[in-house]
Amino acid sequence: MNAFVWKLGIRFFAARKGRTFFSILGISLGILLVTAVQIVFTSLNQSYDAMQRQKYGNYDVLAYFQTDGQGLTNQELDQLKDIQGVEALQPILYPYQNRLPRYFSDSLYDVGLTDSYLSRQLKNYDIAQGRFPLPHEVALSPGIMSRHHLHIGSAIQLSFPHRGLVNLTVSGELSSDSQKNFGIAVYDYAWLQKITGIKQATGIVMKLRPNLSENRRSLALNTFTNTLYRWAHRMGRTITIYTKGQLGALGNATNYIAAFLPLLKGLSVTSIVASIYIVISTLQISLQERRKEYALLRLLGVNGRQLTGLVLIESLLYSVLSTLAGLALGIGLSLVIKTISVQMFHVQMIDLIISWQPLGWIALSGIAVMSAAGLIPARQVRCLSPIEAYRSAEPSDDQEDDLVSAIVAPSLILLSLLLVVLTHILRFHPVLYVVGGLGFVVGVYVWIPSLLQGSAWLSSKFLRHLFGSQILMASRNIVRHRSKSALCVGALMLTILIANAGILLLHAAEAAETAVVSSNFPHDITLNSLGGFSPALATQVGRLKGIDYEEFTTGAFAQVINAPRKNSGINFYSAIRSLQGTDLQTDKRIDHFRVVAGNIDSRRLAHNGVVLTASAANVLGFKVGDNVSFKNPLTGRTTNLQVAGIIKGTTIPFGAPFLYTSPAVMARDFSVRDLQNIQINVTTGNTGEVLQTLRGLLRNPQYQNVELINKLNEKQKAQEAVLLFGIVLGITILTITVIAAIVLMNHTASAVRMRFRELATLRAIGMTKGRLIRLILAEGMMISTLGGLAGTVAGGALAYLALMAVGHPSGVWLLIPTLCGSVLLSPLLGLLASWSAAAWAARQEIIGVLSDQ
Amino acid sequence: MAAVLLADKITHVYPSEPGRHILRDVSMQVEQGEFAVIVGRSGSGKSTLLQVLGTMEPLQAGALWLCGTEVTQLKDDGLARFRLQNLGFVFQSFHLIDSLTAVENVRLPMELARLPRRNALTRASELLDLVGLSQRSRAFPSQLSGGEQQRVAIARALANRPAMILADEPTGNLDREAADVVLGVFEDLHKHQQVTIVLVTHDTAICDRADTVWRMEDGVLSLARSIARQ
Repeated sequence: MNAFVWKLGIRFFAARKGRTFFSILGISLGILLVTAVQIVFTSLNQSYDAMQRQKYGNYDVLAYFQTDGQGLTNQELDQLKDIQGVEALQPILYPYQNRLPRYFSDSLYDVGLTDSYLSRQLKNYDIAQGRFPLPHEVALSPGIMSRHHLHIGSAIQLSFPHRGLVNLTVSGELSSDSQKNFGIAVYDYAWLQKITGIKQATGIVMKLRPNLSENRRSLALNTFTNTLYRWAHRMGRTITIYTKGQLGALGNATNYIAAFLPLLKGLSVTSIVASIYIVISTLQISLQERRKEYALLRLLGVNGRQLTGLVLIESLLYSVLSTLAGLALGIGLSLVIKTISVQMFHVQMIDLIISWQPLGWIALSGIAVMSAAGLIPARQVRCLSPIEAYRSAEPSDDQEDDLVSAIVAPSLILLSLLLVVLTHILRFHPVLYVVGGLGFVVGVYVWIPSLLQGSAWLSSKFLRHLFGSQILMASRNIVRHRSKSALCVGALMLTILIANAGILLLHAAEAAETAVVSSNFPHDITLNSLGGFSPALATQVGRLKGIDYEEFTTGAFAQVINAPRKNSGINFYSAIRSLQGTDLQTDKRIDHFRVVAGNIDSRRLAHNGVVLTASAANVLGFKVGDNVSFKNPLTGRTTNLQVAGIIKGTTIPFGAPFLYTSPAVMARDFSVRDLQNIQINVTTGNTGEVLQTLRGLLRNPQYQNVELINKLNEKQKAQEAVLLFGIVLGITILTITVIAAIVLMNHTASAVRMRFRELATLRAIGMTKGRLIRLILAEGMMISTLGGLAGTVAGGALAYLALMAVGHPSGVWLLIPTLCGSVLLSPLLGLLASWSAAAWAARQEIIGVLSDQ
Repeated sequence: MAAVLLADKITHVYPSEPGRHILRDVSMQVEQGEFAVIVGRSGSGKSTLLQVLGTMEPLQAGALWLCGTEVTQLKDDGLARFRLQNLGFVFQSFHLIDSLTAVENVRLPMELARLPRRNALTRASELLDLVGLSQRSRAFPSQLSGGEQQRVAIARALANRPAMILADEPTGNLDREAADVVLGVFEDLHKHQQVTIVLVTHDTAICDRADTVWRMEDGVLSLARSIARQ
């Protein structure tokens, strides 16, 4: 490409400064949105991570043995360290696990730690003041310090079993305070081992290497936890493992924003499509205006490749400048979103995280895609005949496109509708609803030129009598420039489509999030740990006043081996933990299930009875009176339980086990004593006070892996996520509306410029300025109204079918206000977008335009 | 005879060339039914005069009465309405509306003047018949030859029965044969319809068909020939 082509390309680019500015602004809005979404949601995710780290510490696994005096040997610790992906591992010593507290009148729990970065991640043992204890030193909870008037450097005597009183010095004060009757004493790990005579680590904390891929991370975590479980079961030890994955499982339930990410990515892609639209429309307008110039260049000997280069240079300039502007504006917008979200809606976001690598990719792909979009107009320029240089009249758009529009589009729409109907009747895969919806949208888009023809016919037949010749001229002009008009209609259709689909999806997402909260957290408060926790906590919870609660043991490590239905589709991991222990009669106080067969009598269950959920009975094929055989895959031991009853409608969450027996059976036959969760409903008590007491109880290190979930908090988090999505959706709609308005402004300005003489002639023969303005506005309004209607129909259909696909065909009533809104707002948008061109045309002196000399 | 056009000492300067007078104290009078031709070389100012007479160019100095109305008193939209009701224009480049058919182009001024649709359609057909294009009424401008387009433009100029037609080089873009047809139309209009015509041209051959011939030289207008009309 020679310098002349570059020079000419830059000249063409800079020729219409106003339009160039608006085009760059419009294109940059697409990049802006992608950038802002990327920054805001990276920041949100990292904020969540940071908050999780702050809450739980920066480690991946915390495990401890529940069996006294049994733990991991140094050799086992070394083996664990050698697992690929493990960065660091530190032993922990809980010498008196599950025993009653001792010392003073307080409960005081001993913990032995190594002085390491990883140990300091255990938030309950974080030393706020002083130093980490050396041998013969101890760090204590602030509550203990104040109640016993201790300070750093104080000498105290503490009693240890088999050792009696030992003299110690207080080396530090822990950061977390304890409840009145509870405290923690942290010692040097090796010294505590020596003083207690316990040579094995009763707990470990482990961290994986930071830059592992998701797959490697998952593999390392599985290997690590499986090794621990295997050892524990082999030795008959009970282990509680608390992994980041388990935290993630809880985190996912609470990180509702993650659920919106696919939608947001969809919106970002749409905004890029809108930007591509502007590049194409701007270049096509430029091509139309310079048709003669391009033809003249062809006449003078410029070859097709050079002409293509000319258009691509223009396209490249638009893309580069818009991308840079979009990135800058996107960073600014993310600041605004952050401020609004944090200050107005109290969304938890620590700081904005600007990762330059993804932004670089956004910029590069934006430039590449939008520059490539210039190929379409470039091809048109390349095909331009030199004879165009002689033509005075502007040619009308190709009739071939009309044929495609008139035949292909209705066929596509009909096929899409047929697919949807067949999917509904014949129960095909639900994704076909979305395929049908997309086919419908494409069909409507391809149909636009025919719709434009139809609107012209309609206006010539009917509207002309109402609104005069302006309407006829406006519609004829739209048809004359129908490829460009179709671009505008398409841009507006996209806007309205996004608005309609977005509102419906937002409604569905809100409903789904509420359903998730209600289903995952059916009760006011949940204490949960996938690894399990001591039943002592349930005893303490039971002492609280004004609550009802139910407790569930962890699942038995056993598999059902005699299910009548062999191909039940239950995988090993679901089946292996499918039996839990609970007192269903007590549970009925807060879990309103129905007994559909047999009974749930506690005494019956305590005598090798089991109760199945209706779905479990259906899937496995058991009925009341049948024997269910459970086999421990590690020990090979088999236990038989008899089906006592079948229940339906239970709200028990967290993996929804299939079978329930008495806690006594769980302890006797499956060695399971730990609880997995306690569900609490606050009846007459004060929720705040209950929560405060529970938080106090959970400060006990043995409950460190117990997550307290407050339903109200979860609801609030879900609402925050919906709100944030609403903000981003609103900004997206606004952005794409502006983009569509700019496309329409470009189109109207170009149409006015190209028909300048025609408009001046109208003025010369007596058309007033007002009527001239109305003529141009009518064009803009007709295009925008058609776009609005097409967008409403297509967007409503797509959103509804997308909801059908995910099984939430609700909220269709929302289409009514959005339809009305679209119908009312679309002409208004057209009016605003074409106003400047209309006013400009009316301001021009007739004679300057009509002068033939 | 009543004067349809009365210009008194019109002077005009383009703002971009303040020192150069395009029109210098131009005075002229055109009476009802008169066919006046203004001739002159390119750049002499004859088209500017026509634009001023057609109220498209604002009057800078002097006075102008059209159909008894002093047009300097009228504002922009008032002038547009005045043109719609009293003047018809024919341009060198025809300036038809590309998106409208021949008959719709002719109907356009009548629709702007809010003439009933049926009446407008009838008159448009009559006018196209008058200029010999009744068979081409459904054709779009791009489907018509230059001569045909100009005849449609003449028909459009007559749509609202204007007091005067102002034609700026109406044969400038036509070949001899087409130009003769168009001039024949003007002549017929003048002779049989008593339409007042002011036609600007550099083609002196047209002068034989006119009642009055004015000559424009360097912005100065002078009466070259006048034939007493019956």
